[in-house]
Amino acid sequence: MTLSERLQVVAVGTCAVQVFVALHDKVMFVAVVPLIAALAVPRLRTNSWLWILMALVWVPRMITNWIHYEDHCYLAIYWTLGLGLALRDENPWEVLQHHARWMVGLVMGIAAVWKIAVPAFRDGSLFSLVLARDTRFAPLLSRVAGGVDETSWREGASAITAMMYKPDGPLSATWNIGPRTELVVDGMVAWTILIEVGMAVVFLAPNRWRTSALRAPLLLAFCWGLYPIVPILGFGLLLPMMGAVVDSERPLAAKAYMASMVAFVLIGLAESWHWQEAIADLLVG
Amino acid sequence: MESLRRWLPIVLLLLVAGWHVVMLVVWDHSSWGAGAGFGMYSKIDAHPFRFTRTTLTLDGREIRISLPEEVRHEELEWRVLPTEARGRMFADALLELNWNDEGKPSADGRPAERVRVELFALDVDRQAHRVDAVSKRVVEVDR
Repeated sequence: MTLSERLQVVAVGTCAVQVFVALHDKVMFVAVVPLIAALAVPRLRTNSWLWILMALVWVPRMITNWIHYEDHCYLAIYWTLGLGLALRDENPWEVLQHHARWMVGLVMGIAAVWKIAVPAFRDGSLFSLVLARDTRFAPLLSRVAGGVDETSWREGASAITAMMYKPDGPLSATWNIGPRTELVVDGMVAWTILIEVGMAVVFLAPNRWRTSALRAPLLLAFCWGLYPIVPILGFGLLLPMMGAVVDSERPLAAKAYMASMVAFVLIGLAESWHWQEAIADLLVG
Repeated sequence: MESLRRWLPIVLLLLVAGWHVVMLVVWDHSSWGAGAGFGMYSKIDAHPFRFTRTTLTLDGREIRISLPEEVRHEELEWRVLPTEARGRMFADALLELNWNDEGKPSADGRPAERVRVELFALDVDRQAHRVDAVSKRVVEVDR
């Protein structure tokens, strides 16, 4: 792809991310819709001031409506600003790669520090509680991992829900996700810390280091290990796009990233038909 | 200018994430969402796992109520930022409403004499597969 084509693809991808962020604060469609219209004019897609403006226009709402702006919304705005600033440079693609590399590396590094520093994450308490409450995986894990029946799992989830949402509910609850699922939890903790630390290291390390070859495998493994289960499309679109920018000289990696973006959108849409239960039925009947 | 183009978004990311940590340390701000600290899926004591319980005093009688839609925003803000001030905003929003005898908002009802809101966090004992609710803050306001 030529430089111009690459920048056009990034512009369209960033626009898609902006649309998704606007879903968190629908008033912002007032700003995003004109952006989509502007992008119908190809030369506007690489207009630096358009993107800088599209980053700044979010700031008032991020302050006044702060409750609705999550981490991926902020990252999307930093990226949009980065795109605008890169387009003002003599070497826009090199600057964009710099932004992508540092943003991925820092986000993963900061996230890893949080998890390592928090005992409730390290000892698996958080993931145990999350799985105990999330009955989407009860059919699959209870049948495949075994050691617990689905009814027992759901009773635990209901007990936690009653504690949290019934006015006169109890102030304690117990759960049962089975010993093998608890082992899965331990694996999830170790995997999460290792992969986030790994990504921080390889993305923040200089490009000339051999570790740069690990960027695509680690980021793709992270994305595919998380977003099919927790379809946070804000990150599921943004991180692969940043990865594709960083690894634009590796065509296979870039294609894998782009295909992943499409796949995560489809998985997010498929969430409504409870694919976890469908797989459980397929495997065990 | 070249440095600005290369580093401004990165510096902003670090500054805002750092501010989120300050808010967490000083005001017990949730590590998840409603911010840019990238602490999602790290702490249990964060707003997805905090909850509130509300007690109204109506005609001298105490009633524990379900969270009405009208104050969901104030309640969410308190779970994210569990300060005394946010608790009072939540309680004041409840005082603004009129209530029927069943403790449901009703335009034909009457206001509460007192509102008591309590914020809970979860304490997990993974070995025992048990979770307990721990009170973090109580706010009471009178009409």
